[in-house]
Amino acid sequence: MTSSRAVLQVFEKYQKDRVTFVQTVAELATRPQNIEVLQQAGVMSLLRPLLLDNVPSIQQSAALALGRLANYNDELAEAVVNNEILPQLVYSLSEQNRFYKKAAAFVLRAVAKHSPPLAQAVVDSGALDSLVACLEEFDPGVKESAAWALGYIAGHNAELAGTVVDAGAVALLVLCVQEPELSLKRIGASALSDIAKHSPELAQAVVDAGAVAYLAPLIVNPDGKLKRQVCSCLGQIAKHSVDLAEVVVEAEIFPKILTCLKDVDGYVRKHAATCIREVAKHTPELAQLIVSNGGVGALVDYVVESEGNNRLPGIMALGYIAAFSETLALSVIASKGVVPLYTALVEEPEDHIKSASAWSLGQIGRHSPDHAKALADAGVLPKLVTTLIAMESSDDLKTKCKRSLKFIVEKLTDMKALDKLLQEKNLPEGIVKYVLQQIAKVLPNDAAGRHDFVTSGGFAKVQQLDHQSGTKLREHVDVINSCYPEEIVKYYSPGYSASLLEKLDAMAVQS
Amino acid sequence: MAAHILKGFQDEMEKEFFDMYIDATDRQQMEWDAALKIQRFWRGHAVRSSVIDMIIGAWTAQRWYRGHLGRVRFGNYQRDVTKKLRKQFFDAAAIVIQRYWRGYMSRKYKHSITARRRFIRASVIASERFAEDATFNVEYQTIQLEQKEREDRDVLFEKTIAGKHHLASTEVRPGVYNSPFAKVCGGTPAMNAVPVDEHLKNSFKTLGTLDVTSSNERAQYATDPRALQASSQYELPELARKNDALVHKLATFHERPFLTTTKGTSLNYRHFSHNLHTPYNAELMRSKEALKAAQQKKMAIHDRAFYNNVNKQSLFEDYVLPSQKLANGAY
Repeated sequence: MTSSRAVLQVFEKYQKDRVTFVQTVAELATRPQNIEVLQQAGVMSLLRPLLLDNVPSIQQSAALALGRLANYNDELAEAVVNNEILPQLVYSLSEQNRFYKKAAAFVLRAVAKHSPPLAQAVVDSGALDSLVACLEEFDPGVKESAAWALGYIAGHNAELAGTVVDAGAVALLVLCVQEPELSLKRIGASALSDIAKHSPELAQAVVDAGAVAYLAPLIVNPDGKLKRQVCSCLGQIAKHSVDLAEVVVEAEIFPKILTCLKDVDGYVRKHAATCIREVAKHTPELAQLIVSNGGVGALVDYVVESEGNNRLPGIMALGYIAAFSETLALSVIASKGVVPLYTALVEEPEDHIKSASAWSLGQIGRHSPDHAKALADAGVLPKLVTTLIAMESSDDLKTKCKRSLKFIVEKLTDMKALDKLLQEKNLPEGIVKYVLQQIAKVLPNDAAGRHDFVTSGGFAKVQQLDHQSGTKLREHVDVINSCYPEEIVKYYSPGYSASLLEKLDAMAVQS
Repeated sequence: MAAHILKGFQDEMEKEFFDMYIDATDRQQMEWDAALKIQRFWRGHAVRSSVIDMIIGAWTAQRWYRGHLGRVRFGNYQRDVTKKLRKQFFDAAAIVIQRYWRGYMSRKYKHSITARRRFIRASVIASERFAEDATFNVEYQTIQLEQKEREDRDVLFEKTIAGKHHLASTEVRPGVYNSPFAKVCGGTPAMNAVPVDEHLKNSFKTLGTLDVTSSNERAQYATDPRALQASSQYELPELARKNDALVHKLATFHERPFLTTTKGTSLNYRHFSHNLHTPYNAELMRSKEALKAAQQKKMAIHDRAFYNNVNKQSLFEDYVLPSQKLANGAY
C-alpha cells in the first residue's frame, strides 16, 4: 500500500513540476529582457513535447508561452515554424477545448504577424480551415482569437488575403461583427478591414458578404476602439472604386460619420477622416453629398484641431472635394477652409503634409478668378513661392507648389495680387511667365491698374527682366509695353540714364 | 430627087451643125470665164451691198444675247449678294438670340448662381449644425468618461476602505485619517469632498446611519485655505445641507395647501428625493442630473439632423435622376 503511494507521489510530483515549469516560462516570456536567455536555454525544444502533454492545463500554458515567445520577434517566430510546431497546433485546434483553442490561435497570430513568408507558413500548415472552424465556435473568446489570427494573416498581402477569403472566413467574420461582445466586434471589423484593403476584388468579397450593412450602424457605438476599426474598415472598402464607395454611402453613414471627426478618441477622428477622403475622391456626386451634409465644415474643423500625420486625410479630403467643381471649391472657401490649409503649409514640419496642403490649395484656386482671389487674399501665394524656392523642400513638394501656383495664377485677374506676386523676391522664371501672361491679359482693360502698376514699381521690374526676343516672355512684355507711352517704357528701361548722358555729350560736341 | 436634095441639105446641115458645135466647143471656156466674171462681180456687188445690213443684224443679235446673259448674271449676282447679306443679318441676330438663350439656360440650370448660393448656404448651415451637434457629442462623451472614471474611482475607494472601520476615529481617540496634525500638514484627507474618516465611519454598518459631524468640525474642513486637496470642495457638504434645508422649507409650501402637512411633505419629498439624499452622494447626484439633461438635449436634436439637405434635386435644379436620364435617351 505504502509502496503504491510512494510511486504515485513521484508521478504527482512530476506533473506538478511540469505545470510549474510551463507556467513559469509563460510568465517569464511576458518580459522582453528574459526572451534571449529563454531562447539560449533551448526553451523551444522543451515546449514542443509539452504541447502534446496529456494534461490540458500544461498544453495551454505551453501554447501561451510559445505565443508570447513568437510574438517577441520574427526570429523566434521562425524558430516556431522550423520546429514544426504549427502542424501540432493546427491538429489540436480542431480537437481540444476552448481554452486550448484560444491559446493555439494566439500562437498562430503571433507567428503570422511578423512577415508574409511566416504568414504563408501558417497558411501552408493548413491553419486556415481550423481557424475558420474556430469562428463557428460558441465561445466568443475563441472566435476573437481566431478572427484576430485571420486578420493578421490577411493583412500582409493580397495573395494571403485571397486565401483567407477562399477559406470562407468573410461570412463568419461578418457574423462576428454582429455578436454582442464589443471586443469580438472590434476584431471582426479589423480583420475585415485587413482583407478589404488589398484589392477591389477582395473588398467586393467583403461587400458581398453584407459587411457594410452591419458595420455602418456601429459608427454611433459609444465604444471608441470599435469606432476606430469600423471607420477604418469602411474606408478600406470605399477606397477601391466608385461602386464600392457608393455601397458604403448607401449604408447611410453620412451624417453620422461626421460626428466621429469630433470624437474624444484621436484614432477615431483620423480613421473617420480617412474614410471620408476615400469616399470623396471618387466622383463629384459623392463629394457633393459630403458637402451637403456639412462635411466641409467638419473637415475644416478637423484640420484645425489635428496635427501631424492625422491632418493629412483631412487636407486631402478638402483637396479632392475642391477639385471636382467650382461650387464645391467655393463651399470649401465659404467654410473658411483656406486658412487652415495655409496654416498646415506653414506649420507642418513634414514635406508630404506640406505638399498635400499645397496641392489642396491649388485645387481650390484653379476654378475661377474669384477662387484665385480668395487664395491671394489669404496670402497663400507668397508662401507657396517661398516653399518652392526653399532649399530643404523635396522635389515632390516643389512640383506640387509649382503646379498649384500655376493653377492659381492662371485664373488670377486681380491686378494688385499679381503685382504683389511679381515683386516677390526670387520669383522663379517659370512662374514669372504665368504672372506676366495674366498681367498682359488684364492690363489692356484696366486703366486704374495701369496707373498703379507703374507707381508700385511692378512696371520697372518688368523692364528689368532678362528676356530674349522671340520667347513667350518677350511677347507678354511687348503686350504690356504697348499699353504705355513710349517715354514711360524708355524711362523705366535699364540704362536709360546712360543713354541720356550720351545725348547730352553729343549736344555739347555740336555746339 | 427629092431625096437627093434632102441628102445634100442634110449634109449641109450636118456640116453646119458640126462646125457650130466645134465653134461652140472652142468658145465654151471663154463663155464660162465670162459667166464666172459676171457672177463674181454680181455676187461681190450683191454681198457688198448687203453686208452692212448683215453686220448690223449680227450686232443686234449679239447685243440682245449679251444683254440677256448680262441680265442673267446680274440677277444671279444680286440674288447671291442679297442672300449673303440676309444670311449675315440673320446669323448675327441668331447669335444674339442664342447668346441670350444660352446664357439664360446656363444661368438657370447649369451654373445657377441662386442654386449655388443656396447649396453653399445649406452646406454652411449643415456644417454649423453639425459643429453644434459634434461639440455636444464631445461634451457628452467627456461627461460619460468622467462619470465612468469617477465611478471606477469610487468603487476602488469603497473596495480599499472595506473592512477598515477599525481605523475610524472614536470619541476618545482620533483615527489615522483624522490626525490632529492634519491641519498643519495640509488638511484632512478627503474623498468626494467628504473626509475619509467619515467614509470609514459610514462603512461601519453596525452603528447604523452616522450622525453628521458638528458644524464646527465642518467649518474646520471648509475654511482651511492650505488644504492639499484643493480640488475637492470642502464647503460642498455644508452647501448641500443648506440646500436640503431650503428644500425642506419649499416642500412644506405645497400648491395644494389643504392636504395635511405630513402628507404634503411626503408627497413633495418624492420630488426632491435626490436632494434629500445623504450629502456624500450630492456631487454624484448632480453629475447624474447633468448627464440626464445632456441625454435629453441629445434626444431633442433630430437624429438625422442633416438628412433633409441630402436631396440633390432640391439643391440643384439641373440634377437629373438617372432614371429620368434613361427616359430622355441620354444613354
